Amino acid sequence: MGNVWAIAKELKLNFSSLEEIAALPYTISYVVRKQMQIVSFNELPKEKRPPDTLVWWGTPEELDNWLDKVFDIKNPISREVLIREDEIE
Amino acid sequence: MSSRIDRNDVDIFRLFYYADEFTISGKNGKTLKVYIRLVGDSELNQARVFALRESRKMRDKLKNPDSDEALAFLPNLDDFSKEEIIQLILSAKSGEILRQANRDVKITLPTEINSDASLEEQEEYQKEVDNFDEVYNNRLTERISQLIVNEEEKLKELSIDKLKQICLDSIINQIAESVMMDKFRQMCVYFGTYKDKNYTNRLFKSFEEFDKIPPEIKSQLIACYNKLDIGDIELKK
Repeated sequence: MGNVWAIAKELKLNFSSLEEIAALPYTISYVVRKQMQIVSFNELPKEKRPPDTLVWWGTPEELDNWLDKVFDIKNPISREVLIREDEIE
Repeated sequence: MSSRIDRNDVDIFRLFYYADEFTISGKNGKTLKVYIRLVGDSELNQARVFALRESRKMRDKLKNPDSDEALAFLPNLDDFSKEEIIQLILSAKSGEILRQANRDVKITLPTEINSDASLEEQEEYQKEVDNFDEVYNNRLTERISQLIVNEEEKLKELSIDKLKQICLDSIINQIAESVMMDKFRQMCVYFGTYKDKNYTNRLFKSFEEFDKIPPEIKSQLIACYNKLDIGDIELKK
């Protein structure tokens, strides 16, 4: 939502509240999300970016598989957080 | 002009035409002014969940051979020949085959040219873009024919009883999909139809109220909503 708000401000769209942005038609929020996705893919080195056909016509699973393949992720990353009982207030 | 990929012919204002005032006419000649807007993400998701539940209900009814729906919508296959049943299955599976063909056809988009490309290179690129739809559609048609032939060959190997079962399942799938699409669209129209130009008061108190309106009014509302909506391909531009 924050991103939509930022883009709306940049586009000088006159929304006076977050509720109005929440009521944005799904078409506009789709375009905003897709734009954000493309911007983040463009931050990757060229050879690791998914091809256009995959970006526009692939399924989310196909995109995930592509990214796992180019970053050589075989197993999902797991992290552990240790919390000691005496640290809990 | 390629409809799938050419992003130069996009009318950006189309994206911002998402709400308008419409006039609906009744059989008695009376008219009603309504305000319709495209739904947001949250309502879209609610419509999707509702439509899935409705298609599930219809599927369950169709699977019960004693239900009114099964009697009304499912054919008695005892009167059909093996060849006719195969054709029925292929027809009921046409949507599925089209989706599969779309998934199978992998075609590379024309490579974008450098910003300092010569005029000739730009012309070549534009030609590739303009021909893309034709090339894609030819490949798609080829793949569809191939899938139909493969499916037909597989079906020919099966017994008539097995074919009857596949046929009923395919018709049930087709009906459930159609219910899903209809209910999804109707729920979106219910969510998106208002009686005031500020889009604050919905025209219908509930979906049930919307569902009971005469079909000719409902279809006008749906047609108005469709005027605002943007198809998948246009949206991706």
